[in-house]
Amino acid sequence: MTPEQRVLNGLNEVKDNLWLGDIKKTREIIDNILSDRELVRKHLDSFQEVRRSFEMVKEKVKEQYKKGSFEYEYLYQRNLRNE
Amino acid sequence: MLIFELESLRYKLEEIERLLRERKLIQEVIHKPFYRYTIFEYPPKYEIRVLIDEKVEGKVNEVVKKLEEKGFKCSKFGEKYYVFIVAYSTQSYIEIAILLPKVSINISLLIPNKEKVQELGETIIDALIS
Repeated sequence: MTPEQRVLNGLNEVKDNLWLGDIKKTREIIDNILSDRELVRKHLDSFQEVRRSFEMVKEKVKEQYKKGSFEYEYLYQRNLRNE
Repeated sequence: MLIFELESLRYKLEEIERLLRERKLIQEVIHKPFYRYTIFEYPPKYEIRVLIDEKVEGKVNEVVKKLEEKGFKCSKFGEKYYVFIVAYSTQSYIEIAILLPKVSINISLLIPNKEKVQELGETIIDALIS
């Protein structure tokens, strides 16, 4: 079973147990999903990818506008709106 | 996102469980060999929510048969995946919605009695998974 299928099954179980009102069992299922090492690794990988993309964009934008100033944020937002 | 949401749900459930315990409102889940159920009480109405093991198959006709044996008049609607049964007698009215693995049983009694509701609920589920 792939990590995605495991998560999907887990989420269905969470939904069913919430409907039943079995809070203890629901928490156990959530703990099982969260303790899935492969899933957490995938999550960390995608998080790192987003972080890298963010840093890259930040570096590029720095050359165009004043570093970290309000003006930069304002201009950047205005540029986005114009696009 | 999913991990954050699950962590947030887990935290909220801890809070809800604590509050329910403080107010003594926590619902008892009754465990049986092939199913688990909870009884929600709104006398004279009661709702039994049952979660049946996924490997167990349901026999709807057995439920109707059992209820008729107990003196209920029954009507069955739906096919294959979703079945709705209405049963009534002079003392009670029952609605059963079956969408496996979930079964919801609504029981209204002329004289409210939780033990009777529990007994009826277990009879229905035992007939379903027999």
